[in-house]
Amino acid sequence: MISMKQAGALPGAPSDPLLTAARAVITITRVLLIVTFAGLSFGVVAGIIGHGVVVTKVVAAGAPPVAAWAITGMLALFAALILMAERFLRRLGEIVATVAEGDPFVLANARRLEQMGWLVLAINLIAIPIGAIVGWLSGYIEDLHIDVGFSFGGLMTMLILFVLARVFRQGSAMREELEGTV
Amino acid sequence: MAITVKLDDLLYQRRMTLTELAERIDLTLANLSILKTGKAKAIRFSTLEAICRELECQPGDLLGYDHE
Repeated sequence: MISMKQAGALPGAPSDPLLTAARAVITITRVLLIVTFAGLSFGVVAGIIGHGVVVTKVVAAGAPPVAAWAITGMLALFAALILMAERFLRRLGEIVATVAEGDPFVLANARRLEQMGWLVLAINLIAIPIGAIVGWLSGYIEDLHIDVGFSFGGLMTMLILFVLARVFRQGSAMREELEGTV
Repeated sequence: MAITVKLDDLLYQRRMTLTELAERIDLTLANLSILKTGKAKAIRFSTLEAICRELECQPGDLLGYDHE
């Protein structure tokens, strides 16, 4: 006979090495993303304040003066993308935490997965103008190699996340029913 | 709910405490309390069977239906 307590907290779940690894990776990546975001934000501010300096440099490289704004804009878009990636990982971390607690089938996780799906979409959409700017700039700057753009994989990830959100919604309903069963 | 749980009466007749029954049927006291207070949404046949076995009763002795 399974008691409610056992059904709720699966034994051994908290010491799952996968969860421990996931938590470590998420935490480290989040820190890196925050640092990157700070760096990019600084770049954007510097690009605005020191606009004249950037213009001189891009003109020296043979690009039109407007490229200076393109660079600043690209950095801003990149910063937004990084912020969304950090938000994505934060949600993932919250889901991992509920798994570790032994009660992942809650409505909150369905909402988190949905949010993650939208974030993936937003990240992929932001990547389009970034890719366009990078493509345009690489005509003037030789050593600019950043591979960004809309990806099919991203689209699939979004689809998977939305489907999983539905799965969790149903799972939480079943979990709720089980909770009142003795 | 129109279904009533008469666990309290049965326990009183058998001179048994809720804790004692919980131990005998291997159910947590918390869960058995949920059943006793009528807050349970469902009861497993295995739980029903264990209670009937320990209290030497029929499911009908434990559960009742209120016709308003």
